[in-house]
Amino acid sequence: MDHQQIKKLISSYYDGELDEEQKKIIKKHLEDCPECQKEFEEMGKFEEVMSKMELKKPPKEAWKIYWTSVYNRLERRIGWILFSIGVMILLFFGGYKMVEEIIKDPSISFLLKAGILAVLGGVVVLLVSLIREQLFVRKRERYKEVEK
Amino acid sequence: MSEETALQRDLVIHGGGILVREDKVLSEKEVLELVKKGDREAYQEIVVRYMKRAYYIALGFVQNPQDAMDLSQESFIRAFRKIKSFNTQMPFFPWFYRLMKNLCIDFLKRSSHFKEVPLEEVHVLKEEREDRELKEVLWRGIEKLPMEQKEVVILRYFQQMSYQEIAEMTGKPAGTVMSSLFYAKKRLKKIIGGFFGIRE
Repeated sequence: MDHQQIKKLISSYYDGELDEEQKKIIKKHLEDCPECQKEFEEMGKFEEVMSKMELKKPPKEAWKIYWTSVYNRLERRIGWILFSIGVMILLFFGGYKMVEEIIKDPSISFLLKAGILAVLGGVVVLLVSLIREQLFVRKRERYKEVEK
Repeated sequence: MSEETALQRDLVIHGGGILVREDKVLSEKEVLELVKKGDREAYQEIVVRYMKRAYYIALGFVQNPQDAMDLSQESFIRAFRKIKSFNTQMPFFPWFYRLMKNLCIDFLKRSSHFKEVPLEEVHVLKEEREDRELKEVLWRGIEKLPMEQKEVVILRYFQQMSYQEIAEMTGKPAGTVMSSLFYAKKRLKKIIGGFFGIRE
């Protein structure tokens, strides 16, 4: 076993991941290898520092309101989704009715009808394109480089 | 449900993290089945059980208490929305962890500048100046580690997980976890070397 492998075992030793056989291998190697002995000591110091790294607890109040915050945000989001769906339905229904009225109204000239329909058609195309782009970006791009 | 029973149930949830329904103690799998049916009370049990772990892991990733709180909560919201695709035969937390990790990575990529938070807001510090300096250097060192090394350090040292547990969380073999941790320690050891006269 070379030094690099022993150094990896030393790291695992401090992680409490070695069995008795592996511990014996390290012990035997350390008896004759000053380089790995030094690594063993340094790793010990490092582990000591890491064991003293203690993350600060947030105020107790934060845990008491944690679920409420999650619940409220969840509820609010559902509210927004329903609201958006409702607005979309109303807009499409209103648009449909408007187009129907314009087409049926003989007092409106053909050119004006064509202009209004073109504007409405354009709005629909832009809206669909925008929604499709958003969905595409969310599905394909957002986590493109994110590690899975 | 009477007020007293509701209070007892609440205490059971907050104390032991066990959901009791009709005098039956439910397993996590059973609780998650209820969550899949849209039961928010059952989801409260899951959130309360894992909120601290989620927060501290997120804190390791983004190193800012407010962002960590926000991202961990956002992750629970997204997990609830995606719960139908979750296989209840599997443990919940590794699935949730991967979702939260992606959210944290995405957050760090989107953040135009890293908001460095004073160390005392994140760490328990002693009075000695050296203790503070050492922790500051180490903490900033962890922040700069590549993500695959950073996550094993967070899970190993701040969640006290074994290689096998880390492997389950990250979906990587235990051997890869061991290697990543070894190289992370090597880097960090070099960073704090000056404090102990440790050579590279």
